[in-house]
Amino acid sequence: MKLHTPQPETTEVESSQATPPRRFVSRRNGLLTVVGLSLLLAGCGDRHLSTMDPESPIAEKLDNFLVWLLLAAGVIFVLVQGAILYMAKQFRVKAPEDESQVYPDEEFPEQIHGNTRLEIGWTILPTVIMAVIAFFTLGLLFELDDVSANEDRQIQEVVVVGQQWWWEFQYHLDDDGIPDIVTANELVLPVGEEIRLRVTSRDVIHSFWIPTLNGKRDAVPGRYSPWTIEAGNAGRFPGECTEFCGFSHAYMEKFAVGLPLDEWQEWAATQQRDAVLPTEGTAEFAGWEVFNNQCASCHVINGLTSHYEDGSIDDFALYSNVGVGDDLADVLNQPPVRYIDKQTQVAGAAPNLTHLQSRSTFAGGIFELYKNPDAERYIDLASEGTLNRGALEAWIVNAPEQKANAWDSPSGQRGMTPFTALSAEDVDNLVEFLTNLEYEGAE
Amino acid sequence: MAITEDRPLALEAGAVTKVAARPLGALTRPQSDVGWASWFTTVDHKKIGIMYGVGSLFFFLFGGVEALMIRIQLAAPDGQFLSESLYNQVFTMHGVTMVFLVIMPMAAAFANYLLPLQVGARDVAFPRLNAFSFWCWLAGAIFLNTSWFLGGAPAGGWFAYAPNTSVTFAPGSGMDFYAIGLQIVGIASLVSAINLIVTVLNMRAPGMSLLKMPVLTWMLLVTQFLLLFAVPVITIALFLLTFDRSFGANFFNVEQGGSPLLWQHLFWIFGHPEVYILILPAFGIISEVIPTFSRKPIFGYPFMVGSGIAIGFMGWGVWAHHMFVSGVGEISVAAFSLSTMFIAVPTGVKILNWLATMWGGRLRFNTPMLFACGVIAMFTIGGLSGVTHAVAPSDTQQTDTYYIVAHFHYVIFGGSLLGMFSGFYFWWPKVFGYKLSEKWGKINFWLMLIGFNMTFGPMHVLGLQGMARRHQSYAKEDGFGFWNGIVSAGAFVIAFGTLAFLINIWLSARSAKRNPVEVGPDPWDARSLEWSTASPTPVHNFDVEPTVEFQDDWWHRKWGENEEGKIVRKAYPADIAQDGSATDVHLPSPSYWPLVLSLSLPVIGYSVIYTFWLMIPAGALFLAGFLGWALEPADDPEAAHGHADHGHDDDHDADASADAADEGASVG
Amino acid sequence: MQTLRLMLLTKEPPLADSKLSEATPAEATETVTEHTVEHGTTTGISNNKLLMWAFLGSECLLFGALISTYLLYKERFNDFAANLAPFEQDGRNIGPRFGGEDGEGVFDIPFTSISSFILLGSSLTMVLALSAIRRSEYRSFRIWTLTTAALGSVFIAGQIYEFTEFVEKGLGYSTNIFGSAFFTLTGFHGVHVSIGIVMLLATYIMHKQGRLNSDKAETVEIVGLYWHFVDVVWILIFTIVYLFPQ
Repeated sequence: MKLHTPQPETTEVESSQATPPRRFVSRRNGLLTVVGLSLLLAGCGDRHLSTMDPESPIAEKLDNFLVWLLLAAGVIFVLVQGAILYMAKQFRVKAPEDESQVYPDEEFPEQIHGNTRLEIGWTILPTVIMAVIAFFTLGLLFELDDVSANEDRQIQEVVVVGQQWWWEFQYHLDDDGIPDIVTANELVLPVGEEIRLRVTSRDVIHSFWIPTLNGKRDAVPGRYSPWTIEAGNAGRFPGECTEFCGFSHAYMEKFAVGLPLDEWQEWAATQQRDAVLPTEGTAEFAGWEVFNNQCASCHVINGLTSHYEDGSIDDFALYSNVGVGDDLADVLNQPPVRYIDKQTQVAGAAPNLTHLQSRSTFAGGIFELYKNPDAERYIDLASEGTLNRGALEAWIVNAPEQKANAWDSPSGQRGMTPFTALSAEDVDNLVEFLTNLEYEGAE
Repeated sequence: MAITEDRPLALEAGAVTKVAARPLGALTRPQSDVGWASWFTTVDHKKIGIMYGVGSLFFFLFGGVEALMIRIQLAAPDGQFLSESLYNQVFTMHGVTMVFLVIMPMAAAFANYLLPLQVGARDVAFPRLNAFSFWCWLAGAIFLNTSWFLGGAPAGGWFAYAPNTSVTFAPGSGMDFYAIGLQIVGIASLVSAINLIVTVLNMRAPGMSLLKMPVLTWMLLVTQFLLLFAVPVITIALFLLTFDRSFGANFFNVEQGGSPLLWQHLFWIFGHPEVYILILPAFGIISEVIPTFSRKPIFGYPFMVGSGIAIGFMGWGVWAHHMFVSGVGEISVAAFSLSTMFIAVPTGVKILNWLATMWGGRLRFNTPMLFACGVIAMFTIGGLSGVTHAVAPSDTQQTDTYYIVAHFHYVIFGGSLLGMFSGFYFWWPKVFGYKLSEKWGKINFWLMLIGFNMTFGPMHVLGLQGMARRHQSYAKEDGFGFWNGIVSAGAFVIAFGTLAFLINIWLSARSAKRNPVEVGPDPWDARSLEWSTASPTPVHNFDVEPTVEFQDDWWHRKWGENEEGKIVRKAYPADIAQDGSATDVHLPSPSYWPLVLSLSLPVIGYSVIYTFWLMIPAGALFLAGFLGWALEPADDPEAAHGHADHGHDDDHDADASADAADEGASVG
Repeated sequence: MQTLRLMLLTKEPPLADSKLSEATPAEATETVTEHTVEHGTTTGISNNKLLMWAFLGSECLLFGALISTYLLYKERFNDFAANLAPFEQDGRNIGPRFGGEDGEGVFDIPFTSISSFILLGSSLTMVLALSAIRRSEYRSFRIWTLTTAALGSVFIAGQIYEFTEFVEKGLGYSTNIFGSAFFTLTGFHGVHVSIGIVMLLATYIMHKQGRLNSDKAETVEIVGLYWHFVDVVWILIFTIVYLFPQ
């Protein structure tokens, strides 16, 4: 199904970019660009949310299809509106002088009751138009459904878990069924690889959407819905939650971050390292103590909060409390994925903070962690960034004030508790601890 | 207008009437059909229709204010006008109000007032059930809105997706009000649907075969059938929700294996026919208006009727297009994608037939015609954007964005509501005996049309730019500020348009009072039977039951063809119309019981939410209403009855045989 | 048949014919009045009966939605129960498969078969009651009406007994999705039967008061329509719920 011919210039651009394995360049033809741009007129934001500005082959297919549909619809639109305007001009009669009468008696147009041939004609015509659209639709539908089997894939799949009001991403880099990386709100992807997602939820229905990369897929508790995503280019692509999910539905963002393959591999290696305890006596260590007392009942830091008494690591802790969203059949087949009941369903599900400093945002993607957001930081941990300390501390001290939640709901906590009792020093230390963590195996 | 009947206060002797005279020994049967009190006991389909109209307009203002609040909040980035919690309540109630408390009852207003007139009947088949429907709807509507003062309105969206509506995630009582309030409104719709179906099928004037019925009658009939089959499905969905919330059932409890998608399926199996329930009455209205103001018969009447029926049938096979991103499986998505596309065909046929009706006609753009043309133009846009999300892959980008918001407002505001306004202007003289001002009508139309397009046109762009629905605010960097500013300005233009309508009513009523102008039975040279009786419609509708020979029979009484095939006048409306002077017409008598019975329902609702002790007054009201109703004959037995065979109980006035058992089944 | 004829009377006569119908309103009046007296309703079916048919049409969708819910949840429950680890069961797996005395599920098929048979029998007595009142045999009408109501009551009593048994076995309304779906479906049906019993008793009382005789046999017929409908629904429910529990 070819809707347009690719432009030759684009291949040039493609070859000039050597590093990424498959750099994506939007290949819109001229006419479509005009239509698209005119729609975008006056209102292109700094943030990259528009469906008409695709950054992946899938999104571009969707966009092109829509533009063709809109063109076809435009023709019908012009015909119908034109007909109304033409008739209003051509067949209009002046109002009679006498208000009590609508028409002068003698003026009658020809009384036509209908025309069967015409009727059959304009029943068949839209049927044919629809059949054509249906043909291409099915083509596109099954094309998108057919995810190519890539043997060298970096990521087997990512389980996307929506919850009130943030996203968790569990990366399965191999086939062992145990997540290798658990992170929040930022889905870091190697550029040019089609990634299989399974989208689910821990509480209510959410919807996963990165508009520049692909359409959306609902995160329904109790179901894994398959989906695919591909970052065509390096960059950070935001997306909102699009299924109404309560108070902070508007404040539940996530980002797909495209990294060139080598950088992504470096990122993935870092993310798999556990944290090590800070040296005693430092501010970081004081922060760890605060964390252990106040935060560790919900938040996990791999290597620190997940030790049993004998020093072995609790694998379960890695996933905070994955569970309610799982397929019931999987619950028992996959030991690490636990089935957890209602109390934990609504309380305690909190982002894994092991690699917080490697992320660009916090609090469900709504605050920048650093003052100079930059994709580079995913590799070079916090080296360049100036911490957005004020926002982070405000969040820690009184999260519900920063973002509406239901931490005090009578039916179970949803969202982060305010910690207004913490002293300023405690908060400072906590921030030091979280943003200066060191990891096993790092030099 | 009033034909005051000389009803004897003393009833005839005999076992039947002895039981009936004072059912509970407390209240005498209301007699008067004039005065303000009569509105509470009336069973006259016209008064009930007017009350539906007034009620729906009241809630239209209510829902409109909610819409304005949303638009103030979103007018600029980082809006501070409404808190998250309040915003969620406001948009939920905006949707619920506009669908269940505005468009549906507004269509019911036209259905109640016009269906009996268009088929040439004296009243609906079951006048007291009709009154019950109205009071039940009003009780449900008020019940729903009392939630604002009782701990917060529902905040789960009008679609109320589980499990966001469970006690865990919606601990307040808002969703209880939603579930029970809609249940009560649903009872009203179901009862009304059955009543109107029986009316149309059974009470047509002699000679009016199904294919001679006006298109409006047809579309309303299809609508009632859709309601008949759709309401029980939402009834079950709402019951499951209430059982979950109030009695600890597990239907939407994921922890126990409950399925959130079950709610979606049940809701949309109701919800998609509901869309056609909203739009078909408007299609019917403009199918009456356009021929009248084009001076031509409707083009392709059988195709108009057929496409309406086709839409009614196909409307049942498309519900899952609301669930393209829910993960229902590729085969379902493909199937529902196709069925959704092909429902565009009968809709397209309708649009082409309206255009063909206008083609070559002698068009006069009075306000009703302006609104009717507005419907064709705006609904076409809604239909076209509808096709873009019938394409399932494309829909994954559009669903739950403002593109969808734009789409369904073009359909429901641009289609249904403009159609209803067309109907208001068209039938106003028939109902009230004076026309609404053309000048203000045009102001009303243009303000609404321009405001409407300012409001909902840019939403297409916003949606494609990635603005998601139901977000309490957006950031400056999102770049949505410019178009949202225009959208919010447009919302206020619509508000001014609505204001113009109210001013129009006020000014026109005042001028009609000061210097009454005789509008005559048929001010627009229209085509169907309601124009063959006096304006305003006399209480008994027709002095004599009309006989029907043709489709558009009234028009054929006024006009004929001479030898050259030229159309010539046979008679003037004033000469052949019925003047409403008959005095011996037997009419169904007013009754308290529909009101009493319907009042018990919200009390039952409060009882489920708060305390079971309330079941005592609720039960008392219910029993009083039910028994009073059952023991009271549908009519006062009366000598003025037109014909002798009184024992024949399937009389068109729904005699006393509308007894306890049968009617009980439909309300119990 | 009359309905069909009227429905087929649809052909639009040519426009010129309108010249022929130049009857004055007064003339039209006379013909109309006669016409009305002849035919009560357009379709020939009385309003009340049509109301009941429409209502039953609506009821089909009501039970359709309930039965679909039950079918879906029965499947989900079977998966759910089969996958519960022993320590998680805690009585939550009680349903068609587990929970009975010998671990064979909660249903007592022979018992429910008998009560189903009783309900089916009541359809027969309903028919007898209707035919009796049509033939003005009021004594046998009274007997058969009361018998029908009594059989219905026995069925309801059986249902109440069955529900108590289930609760004793540990299957409450909130126990699991099977409990919720089962009690909701059968409960809705039970409420329908109970309303039917009230309707039967109402016809009996009306008859006693002299308000219901062979002229109004149609009222009994309408109650009968409802009663038969409820019976047919039970056959469906019995088959789906009890005979194919897996």
